[in-house]
Amino acid sequence: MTAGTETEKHDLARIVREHQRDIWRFLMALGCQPAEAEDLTQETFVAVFRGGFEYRGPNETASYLRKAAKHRFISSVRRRRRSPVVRNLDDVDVEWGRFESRCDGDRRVELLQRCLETLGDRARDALAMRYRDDLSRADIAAKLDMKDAGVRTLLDRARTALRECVERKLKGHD
Amino acid sequence: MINEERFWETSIAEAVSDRTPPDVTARVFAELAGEVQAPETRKRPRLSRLALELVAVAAVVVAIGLATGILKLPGKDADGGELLPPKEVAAAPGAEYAYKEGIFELKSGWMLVTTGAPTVVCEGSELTKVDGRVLIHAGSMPPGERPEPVNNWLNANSVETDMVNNFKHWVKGVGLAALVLSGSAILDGQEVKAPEPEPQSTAEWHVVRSVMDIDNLPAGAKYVNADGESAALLDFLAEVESIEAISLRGAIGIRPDHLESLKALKSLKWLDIRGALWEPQADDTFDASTDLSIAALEAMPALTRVGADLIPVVLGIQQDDVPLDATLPVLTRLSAKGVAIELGSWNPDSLELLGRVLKQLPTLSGIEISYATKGEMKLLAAHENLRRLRLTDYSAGDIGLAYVARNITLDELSLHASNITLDEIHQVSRMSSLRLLHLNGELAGSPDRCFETLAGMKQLRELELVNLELNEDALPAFARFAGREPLDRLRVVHDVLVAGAEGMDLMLAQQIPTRRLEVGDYWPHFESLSDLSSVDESLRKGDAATQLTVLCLEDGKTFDAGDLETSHADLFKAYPNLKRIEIRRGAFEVPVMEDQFVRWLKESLPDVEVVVTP
Repeated sequence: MTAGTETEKHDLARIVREHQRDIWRFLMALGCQPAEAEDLTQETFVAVFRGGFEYRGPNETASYLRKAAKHRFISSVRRRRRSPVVRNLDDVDVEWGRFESRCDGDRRVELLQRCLETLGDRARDALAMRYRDDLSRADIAAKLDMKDAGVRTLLDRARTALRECVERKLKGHD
Repeated sequence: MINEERFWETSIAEAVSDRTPPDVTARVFAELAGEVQAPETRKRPRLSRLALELVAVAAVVVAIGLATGILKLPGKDADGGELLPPKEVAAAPGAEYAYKEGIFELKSGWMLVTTGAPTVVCEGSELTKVDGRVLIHAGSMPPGERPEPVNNWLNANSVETDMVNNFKHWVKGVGLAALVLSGSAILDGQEVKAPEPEPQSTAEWHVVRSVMDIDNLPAGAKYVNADGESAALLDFLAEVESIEAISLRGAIGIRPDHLESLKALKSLKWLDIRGALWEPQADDTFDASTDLSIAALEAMPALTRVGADLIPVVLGIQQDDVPLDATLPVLTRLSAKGVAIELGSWNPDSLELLGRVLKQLPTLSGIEISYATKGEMKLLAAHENLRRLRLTDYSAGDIGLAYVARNITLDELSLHASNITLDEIHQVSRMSSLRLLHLNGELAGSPDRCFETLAGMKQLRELELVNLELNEDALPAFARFAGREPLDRLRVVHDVLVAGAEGMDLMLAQQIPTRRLEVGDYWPHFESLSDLSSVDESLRKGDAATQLTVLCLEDGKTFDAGDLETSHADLFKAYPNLKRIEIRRGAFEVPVMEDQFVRWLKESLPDVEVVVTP
């Protein structure tokens, strides 16, 4: 399939809209910054469409796109000499597929935002400093007047609490 | 799942930061429509690494280098002659010589003479007009057994010992024996030439992508390529005793235990792990000295050539946390033993650091430098054993290349930049021993004059043109190639993400005579026979062009093999001189489809050799 006719363009646009959020999130999980994830998401679709893409259903398409995205990411890592944050790159696309099959990314983020409200102020602040402001543990410790090890424990517990909260909601227990 | 914790962290980060995935639909279609994106701005990244205490180690290495003859110190020779001879003449450890009034006299031992060298005399023999590389031995033919320092010296100068040992290639003069490694020279008034190169046989390199591929290796397989694959394959390659060379560039998840397993390969001469992604035992207890250990290489007795990174990329570890001394001590000791070292991509933090590394690795024969400055190029140009240089996003310009052109004899040069200028190409043309040139980027200003200059480079045997932005105005310049001897290999390709240049690639390929042609970027490139008419004509030109390589770069594979079979059948049959088709595997593809295609090719063209290579 190429973007020749209007119908084909429409079909390809639908495929981009259906899968781009998953690909962007997957690239973020691999260690991209947001702008790089956006660039690589674009490159992934362009490369796949130029390569004579054939649609074979949503699951196989998602799997194929993730493989293509992983490949582009690895190329980028080699080009920029930057380390990926995941430890198992071999099977990371398959792992992500399993992770996503348990809960769609949009839904997971929505549940996480609801679960965040159940955390104490200190834990929420620590998470915001870590993941929104990208502060180091030492900086967070200074701002919260805690020891470094204490921040580590706080973040660990907060993440575990959020994860358990989401899983409870998915099972309908909340 | 090993990575599940990381996945949750990503989701939490998105929830906490209110970042949302972007809509790239418009960008994708703008790109597909060929709209030009703003050029990527390239900045030299700042690296903040701990300074290393290397000076003491460097001093030891220099001492070892001097002792083995790999390094030379300036000074007077035994006869009180001039300072050391020019760079075009290199004497082996133990050689006796004199250099006076522009004439070099070899009295005993070995010497390597290259283009532009002064006249060399030896016991009544005279070697002049060297255009290429000539190895000479004083007196009679050299003995089969050589002292270890001489073998190390040969190795450091990229001279294949198999060639040295092949006496039928030597020419005996009155007072010396000469082996013309490349090009030609005049020995005692007679022209002597390098032996005709053996037909390039990439088929010897066996591509393995699975344990099944390893199980199916033919008996006696020597060369194996598993670039970009899982490093765990090494555990199984270690069972194949005949292996002499393994290329595992860009392997995923390499660990010290994988290298340990290779110690079982007693014949392993060459291992290349540049660009490999290392996997630590655990990211919270990362210890570079153990997690990135390459000490196993020291226990491989046959090893003569190693490709490795100075600062490996480690999965899950910030690049700034990987110290420079992770692999350097082992590489230093290997270099001191005469093992040729090739370093993967590196952006030196300072001139001092680059200088120290060059001192510690006297047998460094290849390096890839990003953002090279003029100062760095000057240092590299003082490293006389350097034969292969890759420059990415360099700022050194023609001045940097001029240092190299004047001071060392490169075999291979790669320039990858957004703009490659005529001034730079001019300096490249002065590299008299350059056998392979790889250009990736736009020829700025005067592409036609750049190609005129390239066409005049008689020393060039292999030319790779990647992602060149050209229009038809540049084509007349290629007529200059018509009169020259065919290249051994020509590659004209585009990355799949660079659209709209396919037609120019084929027109270019048609203009340059070559024995072996590599074209393509992704399969749809060859959608019809008419697309290939220009290549077809090129291959019909004579007996020279007998090989066609179809490259598959990057993501260029389709789900469906159907188009390949129908559109390529008549194409391949149309080449009367075709003896070999080589299918290059991409880094990302559907192997089953490839296997079907290869099987079909073999059945359809029983008289043509069909091979699959990396």
